[in-house]
Amino acid sequence: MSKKKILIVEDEIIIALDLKMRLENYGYSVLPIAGSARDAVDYAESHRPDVILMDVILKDDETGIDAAREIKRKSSVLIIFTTGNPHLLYDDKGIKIFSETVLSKPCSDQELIGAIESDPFA
Amino acid sequence: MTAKKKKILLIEDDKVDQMAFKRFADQKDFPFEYRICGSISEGLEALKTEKFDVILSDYFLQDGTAFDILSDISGIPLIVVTGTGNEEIAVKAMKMGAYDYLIKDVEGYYFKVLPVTVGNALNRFEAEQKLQKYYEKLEDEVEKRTRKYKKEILQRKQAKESLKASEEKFRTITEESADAIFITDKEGCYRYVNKAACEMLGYTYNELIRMNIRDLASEETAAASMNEFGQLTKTGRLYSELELKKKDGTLIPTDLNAVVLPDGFIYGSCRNISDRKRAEKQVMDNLREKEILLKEIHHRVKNNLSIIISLLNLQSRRIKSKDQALEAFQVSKDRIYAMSLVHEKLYKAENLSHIDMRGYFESLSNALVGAHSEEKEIRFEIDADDVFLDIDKAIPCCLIINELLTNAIKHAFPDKKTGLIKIRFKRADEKALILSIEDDGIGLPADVEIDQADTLGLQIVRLLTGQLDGFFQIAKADGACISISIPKEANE
Repeated sequence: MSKKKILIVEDEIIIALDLKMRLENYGYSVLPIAGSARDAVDYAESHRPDVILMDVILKDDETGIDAAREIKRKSSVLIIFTTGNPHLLYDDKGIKIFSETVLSKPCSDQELIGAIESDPFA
Repeated sequence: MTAKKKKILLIEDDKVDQMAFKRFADQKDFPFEYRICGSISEGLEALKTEKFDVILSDYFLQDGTAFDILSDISGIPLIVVTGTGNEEIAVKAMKMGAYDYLIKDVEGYYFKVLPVTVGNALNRFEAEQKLQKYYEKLEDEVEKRTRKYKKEILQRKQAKESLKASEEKFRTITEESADAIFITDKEGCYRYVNKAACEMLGYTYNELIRMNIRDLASEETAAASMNEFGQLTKTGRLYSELELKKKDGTLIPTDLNAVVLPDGFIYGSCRNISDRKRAEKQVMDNLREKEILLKEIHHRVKNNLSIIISLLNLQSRRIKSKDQALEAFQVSKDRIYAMSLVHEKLYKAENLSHIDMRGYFESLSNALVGAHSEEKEIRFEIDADDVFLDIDKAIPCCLIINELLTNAIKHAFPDKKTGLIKIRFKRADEKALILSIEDDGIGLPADVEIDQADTLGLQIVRLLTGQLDGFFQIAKADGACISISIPKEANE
């Protein structure tokens, strides 16, 4: 198995650093941290990650949902939402807006690795 | 049973006449009982003890005249007996109240008419008694009736007065009521409006009285209000919130309460509820604002707890010994405290973007002195502008300052017993805030580069400064001075 490249999209740098170190511990290669939706879209295109861990509420007005929508238009990268407010990913009727896995922050290593290694196309 | 014989009292002082009477009265068909007295006084005595139905009295008696007893016989018929030639006395006696008279004739014929005269007198007496009783009864009846009518008249008068008073009272209440009160006919035409109604709607009484409720509906509410009017005439009662159009065209929200009166007219009272509506809106706006605020706070709290967990994760990685473990607890505690102080300031702030930074520095430095300076005496000097930060900036800022202060406390004064740490937080210009920490300690080692620092504390400072889009400046000689420039937003 080749080393997966992971893009962390997170505006809280401390949370991002923690995630990065945990992932590196499991042998993943972590790309530079994207702190905004704009950075997320740019880095996804320039670094070609295998997996994106996407925070939902980011600084500036654009959210992780906006970034995910744009990235998916161009690539089929695996996107995992990480959020402290999972309700943001459901509409008024309680239906999930995306098919992507949602990890509730904070999450354990097992949850994290399990989500990264799940193959939605298997 | 034969009726009891009536009894005659004869007052006669003449023995011969007494004898003559006796002789006549003792005949068996004489229809009366009798007693004979020889004088006025004897007669009066007899009247006291016996009951007589008729008195026959000679006019001239030795102790007076027959008139003397008139006042003492209490209504018993008196027949005066006189001699021939004394007819004037007879006339006088009749005038005085005697029932009849007899005239003694020598032959004694007068006895023959005596029973008839006595009978007549008795009949007349009885008739008079009856009449008297009847009259008295009539009088009584008239008086009773009169009393009754008088009472009824009085009652009617009082009822009328109290009706009038009550009418006046209700008229005043209606007229002076703060609520608009009106009465309309079955078609909705105003028949009465009070002062408040005129004031509320801006029309005069004379204008309103020529109008229909339809005229006060706005174009938007016309259909609804006519519908409600229809409901009212069906059910007899209506509670409704209704918008009415004033004379000047403005709409006022009102609370209407209407009933159908027994005569089919409609009574309504109406209140302007603009103030209430305004207050309701205010409350709803406040509530919405608070709901948003509450959600925001939930989000921040959860976010901060995530940061704490990450800080603990990061710190725990570095533990290689027991001492490092104890150290890790201490620094983690300081970081969490630094964050919790932000929430304390937030609690006192008006909103999430108004955290008083100077107050924060004071609280944090006091807490750190308490926690770290058992063996040293360290003073803080704070020089801060009135800067209020949004919580998103306040948390990184506070974590940075916490790291820099604990670093200075721990490392700046290894040999000294006292030390001074200056905290400065200033508006540099329109675009930036400068946060600087300066101490009078030994200064930073020449080889320290914050950019490559491998202690977690300095790493945090570096990363969070980046998160704030800021940059550092470090002066290492003559004590250490680290300043961080943070871009400032227009409202800070």
